[in-house]
Amino acid sequence: MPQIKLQSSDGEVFPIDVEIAKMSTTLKTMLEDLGMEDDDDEIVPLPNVNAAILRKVLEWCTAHRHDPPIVDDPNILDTRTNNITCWDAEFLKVDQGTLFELILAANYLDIRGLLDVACKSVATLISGKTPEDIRKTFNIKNDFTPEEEEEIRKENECCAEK
Amino acid sequence: MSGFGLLNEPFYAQNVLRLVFPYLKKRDKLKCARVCRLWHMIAIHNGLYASMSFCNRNMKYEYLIQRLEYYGTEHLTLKQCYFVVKGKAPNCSISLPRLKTLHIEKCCGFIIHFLISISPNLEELKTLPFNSSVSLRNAANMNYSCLRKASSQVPYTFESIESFSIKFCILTKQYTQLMESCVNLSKLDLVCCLKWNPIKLSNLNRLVTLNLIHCDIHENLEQALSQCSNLKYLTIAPHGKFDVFAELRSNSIILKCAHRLGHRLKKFTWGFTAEYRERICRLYATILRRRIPKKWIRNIRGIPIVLSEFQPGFFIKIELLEKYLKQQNWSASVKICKQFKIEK
Repeated sequence: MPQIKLQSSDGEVFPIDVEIAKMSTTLKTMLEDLGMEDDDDEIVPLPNVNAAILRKVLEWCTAHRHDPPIVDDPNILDTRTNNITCWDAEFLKVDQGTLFELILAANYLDIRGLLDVACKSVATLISGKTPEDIRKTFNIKNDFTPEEEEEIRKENECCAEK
Repeated sequence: MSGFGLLNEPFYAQNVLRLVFPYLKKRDKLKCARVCRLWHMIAIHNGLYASMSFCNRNMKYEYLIQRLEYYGTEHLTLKQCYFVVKGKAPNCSISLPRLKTLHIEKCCGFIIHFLISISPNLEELKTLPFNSSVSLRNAANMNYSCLRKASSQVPYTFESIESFSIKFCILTKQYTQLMESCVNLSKLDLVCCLKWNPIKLSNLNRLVTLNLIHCDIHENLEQALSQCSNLKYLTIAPHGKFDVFAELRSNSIILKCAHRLGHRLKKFTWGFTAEYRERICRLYATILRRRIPKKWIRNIRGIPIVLSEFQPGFFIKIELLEKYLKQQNWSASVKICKQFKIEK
């Protein structure tokens, strides 16, 4: 099976199957455009992804290599958050920093399935919570004055009516 | 790397929230907008406020405009909102280029016109009729393709509007401007409109039908109408106030109009209630005769004055009028009337 080498931002090189690399639309396009398929020794640098995250991403890709590709319209999202598989849920039991990095990496590499599931797991952290709960969940400082907060609350009512 | 609190940082917050937002329900997005300033900004940039609707709100129009501008709102719905207009006139240098659809129900006409005038890219406008307060009732008659054509120039010209009916409005300057800009207007209904200056009517050269029902009758009416060279059908029914003098004044203005326009009108309808017509009309007329030159009355006889019935209740109660007349020692005028009759 042909392989390519990916280099993380901190210099670690990951040799992987082309088949797995192609789950990333970004890499797939690159490989096709540059005709790198048969090139053995070429190293693809990924300056936005560090080794720890790239390892995670590749772990996910390897586990999901037989998934049917997601071909639907990117404008129509499956926003249900209750359809995360057990494996994914276990896989995403990581600290928030890793989760966010995974989202950014999945977005950068354009891996639709991973992005989907990672965003959904952040969405579950948010949904149904009060702003104060959200702040606690993500350790966010509230920099609104009480008046501002009240004003935004009022305005939000105007949006919610629709 | 725990990453706890990472979403305080603009880089992470922006990039992560942007991607997560589509997976959230609107309710949850709105909660996010309340978390902190950064998240609020992100929510704005992700179009959370693209459509807003205000219901039963009492606010300053400056506040509304400022919010719309800040949020880049595209779809706005206003229902039963009351706007406080104080002091200086609206600043027309503001513009809402992103506003595309505007639905207004039961709000004062001022805000409709004002929003139209500052939204160069408006594509859809709906205003709904209602019966007790103020509205631009027939806005649906307007052809809004002209809104798109009109560039950022203010005020717009509504060339395509032929029929315009305004009910229960206080005609502010902006409103009158809107009316004025309908250069091809042929039918105008004003129902229960206050504080309007009829001199604006003189720009409406193509006006054929004018209905003034329960409106303020301004002294300029006669002069303004005489300049509407195509006017053929005129209906005037003054509103009844408990002020006899105001009523007398408006009726004498109507008589003057009838006198001046009579020769070219096809139909002139002078609206009264049934009560008014049957019991008071004669008494009134005599009082009027005392206040306006006799020659007018003679000339009026040739005009087909149609006394039609309008909804009672808007008009003065006869008993009250009679009582009032007694108080004011108006018996003298009644005497004059009798004398006049004898003379006749």
